Amino acid sequence: MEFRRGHLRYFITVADEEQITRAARKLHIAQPALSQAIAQLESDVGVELLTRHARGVTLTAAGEVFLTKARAAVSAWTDAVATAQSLAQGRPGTIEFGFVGSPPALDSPGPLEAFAASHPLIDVRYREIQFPSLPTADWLAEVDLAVCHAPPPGADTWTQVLRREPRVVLAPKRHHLAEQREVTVAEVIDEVFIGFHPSVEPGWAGFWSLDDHRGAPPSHMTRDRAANAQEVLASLAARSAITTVPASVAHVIVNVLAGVVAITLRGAEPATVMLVGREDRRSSSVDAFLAFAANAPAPRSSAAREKRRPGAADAL
Amino acid sequence: MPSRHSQLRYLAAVAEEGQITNAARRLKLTQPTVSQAIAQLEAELGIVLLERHPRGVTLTPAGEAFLAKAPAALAAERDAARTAESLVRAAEGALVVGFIGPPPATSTPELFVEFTENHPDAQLTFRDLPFPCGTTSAWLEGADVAFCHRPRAETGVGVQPVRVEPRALVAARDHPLALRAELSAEEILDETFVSYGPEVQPEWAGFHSIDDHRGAPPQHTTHDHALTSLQMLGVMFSSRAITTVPYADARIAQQVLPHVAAIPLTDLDPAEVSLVWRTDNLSPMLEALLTAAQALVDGV
Repeated sequence: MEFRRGHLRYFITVADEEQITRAARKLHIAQPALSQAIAQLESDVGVELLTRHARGVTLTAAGEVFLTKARAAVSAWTDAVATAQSLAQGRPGTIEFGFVGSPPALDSPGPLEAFAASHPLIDVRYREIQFPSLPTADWLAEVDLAVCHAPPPGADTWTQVLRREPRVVLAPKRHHLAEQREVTVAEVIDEVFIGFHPSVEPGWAGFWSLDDHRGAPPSHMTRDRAANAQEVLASLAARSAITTVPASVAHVIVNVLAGVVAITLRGAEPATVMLVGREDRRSSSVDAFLAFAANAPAPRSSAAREKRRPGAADAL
Repeated sequence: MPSRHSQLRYLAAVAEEGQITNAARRLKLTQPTVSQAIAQLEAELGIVLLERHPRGVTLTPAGEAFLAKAPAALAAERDAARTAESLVRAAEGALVVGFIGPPPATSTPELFVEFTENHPDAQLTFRDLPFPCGTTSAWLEGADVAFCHRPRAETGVGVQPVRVEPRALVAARDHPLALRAELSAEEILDETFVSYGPEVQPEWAGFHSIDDHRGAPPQHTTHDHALTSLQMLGVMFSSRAITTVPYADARIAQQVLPHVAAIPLTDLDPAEVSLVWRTDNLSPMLEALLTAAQALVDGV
């Protein structure tokens, strides 16, 4: 029999803290989830491990015995993982980290800081790249990986989903929608949208003018030929048109540009933020980042984002 | 999600084969199943374990380190699971009594028959154990208490003698030594002894081969290894070898198997047939059995 992932570590923390609430805080998980996990562990073990009091929990005699074994198991796993991690970090390398739009470290600093801390020998260099163009592999020629909303598919490229987030409407302050706190897709679908450069992959560009909901390009577009985020912002500031972006990007932009507002968009399909890169640039450093990113908790919202460092313990 | 055990098994197979496709074939699984299980393990740990090449895969140094250390962690987790099982048995009044050799109730009825009469609620289960391999506490995993002569002493393992008795030679009835009424250690030192598996505790094997008296393992041993008491008798017959066991066990073997001879050895240190248990075992039934055994020894 194997215990469910994390349960032994949860039990040890609860035993040490003598309180579910405190243990939940320390483990960065919700208190009901922790209570449930402990109840599940007790049911898996088949005996009560904890006695519940008004002010906390204490170990039963069986719990005391089991705790010793649980500690031995968790420390053996931690040792195995930590040894492997120290070796994984021992390989120097660089990652040319491409981004489209706002810099990735601005919209979600936690995981990137944590990666830098746990992989000190891997240099991450950030590079802004143009909006996706075809073929995808050519667009990615200068970087080892890029973070981008649903990049166009391409031969000889890989992708890994990072997170999904809602789309948000960006509009200049003088726009007639700017006073609204939220709008529906139907309310904005016939607005004037920012135009993209013809080199930008049409499917990708169309996503930002809600073509996926309309089934066609907007009837009114500006004559802009935006090929990167700066150009979109320049157009936004100068005209009375809108576009949509992932929520994390909107969060950064409204903090930087006083003349632009972000409006919650109801009913739109979420944006899938992905990591993408060329197969021929996939190095051990890139693999390390992908494994790390897959393990990193997805930020819940800009405000509630925790600076949490995922590590060995999270895998147990 | 595949169990850790499966993930490690797949990783080990892939490392040995150097190719996911071949490893999958060996494991009788599909290639995506194996790839995904390993990718998931890498994601969970946040560590790249395999280096992917055009023509196959090799372990990264991190992967090698993980594969080397993970089995110990898995064993520690299994140990925790076994402890959990013994805690459940303790709560239910169940007791698993492991034994080596003849069933305890035949060799020592004064303890086991009386115990079951005095504790009608006790759910006693008897389990035939192999010879002790590895650590004594790991060997005890499946049982609450074992009834046998002393395995290797260890912290965390309790031993309480029940009977102290001479050792006896066990041999086929047509063995030249089988005609004797009794024997000294000196007379059997250079015989061919039953060989025990290399994984069997050397102290345990040495006791049967009277290494304690000789100061070294026997010069001649069988090709066959014995890992259980039945195998021991099998090897003894087929290879015309001898071994020694506690006298009561030898007598029972002689009664059950007409072709076995049991001959007392006069000048060897006696065997202490004991109860052996893990001291972290909380079972009240175990406590009761130990008390009953102590009363027997004290002659109460």
